[in-house]
Amino acid sequence: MSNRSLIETLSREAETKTRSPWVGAIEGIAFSLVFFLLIGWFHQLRPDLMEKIHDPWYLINLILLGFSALLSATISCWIAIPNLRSPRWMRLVAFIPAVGWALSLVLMLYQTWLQSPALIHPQEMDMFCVQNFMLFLLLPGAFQLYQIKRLAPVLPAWSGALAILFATSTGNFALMLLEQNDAIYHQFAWHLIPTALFTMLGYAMGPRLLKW
Amino acid sequence: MLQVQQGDQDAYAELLGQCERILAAMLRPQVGNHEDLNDLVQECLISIHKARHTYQPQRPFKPWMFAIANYRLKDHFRGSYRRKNLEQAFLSNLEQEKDDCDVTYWEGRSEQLKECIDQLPGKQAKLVLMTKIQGYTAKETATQMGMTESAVKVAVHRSLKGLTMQLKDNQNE
Repeated sequence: MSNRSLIETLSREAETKTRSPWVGAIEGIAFSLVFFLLIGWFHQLRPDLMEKIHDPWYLINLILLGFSALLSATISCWIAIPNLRSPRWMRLVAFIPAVGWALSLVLMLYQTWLQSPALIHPQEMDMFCVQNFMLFLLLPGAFQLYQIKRLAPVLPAWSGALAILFATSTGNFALMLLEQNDAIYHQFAWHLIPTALFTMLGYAMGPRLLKW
Repeated sequence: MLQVQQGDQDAYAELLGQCERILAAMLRPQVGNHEDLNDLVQECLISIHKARHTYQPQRPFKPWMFAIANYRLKDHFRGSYRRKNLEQAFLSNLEQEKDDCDVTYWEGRSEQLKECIDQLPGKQAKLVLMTKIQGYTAKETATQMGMTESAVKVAVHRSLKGLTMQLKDNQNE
């Protein structure tokens, strides 16, 4: 097919509805919120939530995870809009709250170890945690990837990583409100490490999943 | 682009025409082959068409278009690198297999070999004669026969395999 005839064919379908990245981000956040409400309705919030809210570490972690979810949802959709001038730092901004959360967990782990190394002991796998973490990863994660794919991701690896970061952040946020297990080793081994691993997996799989 | 998003087909055709010229000029230094360049420009035009709903009217058009072209260019390089690697692996396998089918094993039976070569289909017999007896390289043979170098290697490899089988059958008889 010559370029001229290709242009003629394409120009017949000129009309289109523009799609804003904000809409993609809001739909992704709304979906995960609905999903969280459903899971919360099914499992109930943790009974000591009102006391925990007064614990500054808990509150800081909750806020960091909330910010991480909001930023990763928004930026993952924004970088899916082709723009050669989009600043490189934009994609890294989304990682700041997540890194803050990771650092706070590492700091808490270190403090606990300073108090007494015996306090850090491996715990048995908590199926509630794993099950809900995976559910968040699969459903809001897949929905966010779909939202990104509806745009035109020209940085698919970063978009993939941010979509997974969004899913894991919302998953961790939800688990902090639902799960009563605050043991630092559990948080580190079953929340932080899977988040890091799945985000890296999102980076690796992004170009395949978001091909257009 | 604003007119395009409202459905103006003439404006869209004009816009794509301009994009085609800009993209060809941008991609020509990066892609040497004319056919590849044409394919790449068409891929970029199709991608621009697919992504037209993501254009934000308040932003400039060219950074949007160049980002898409950049993405397609990287994709093209990745694809051609993969194809080149596959082709090289295939050709080195062929070289290996060709060495395995050692026709010199049948030394001293040149008459029989000649008969077997004559029994091959015309083009195959000529290729075997040129590359294995007259000493032409695959490239020279390809130029004379109007084929690609890899096609010559594949055809010679197949002919040699056939020839070996035939010679073995003859020996068994």
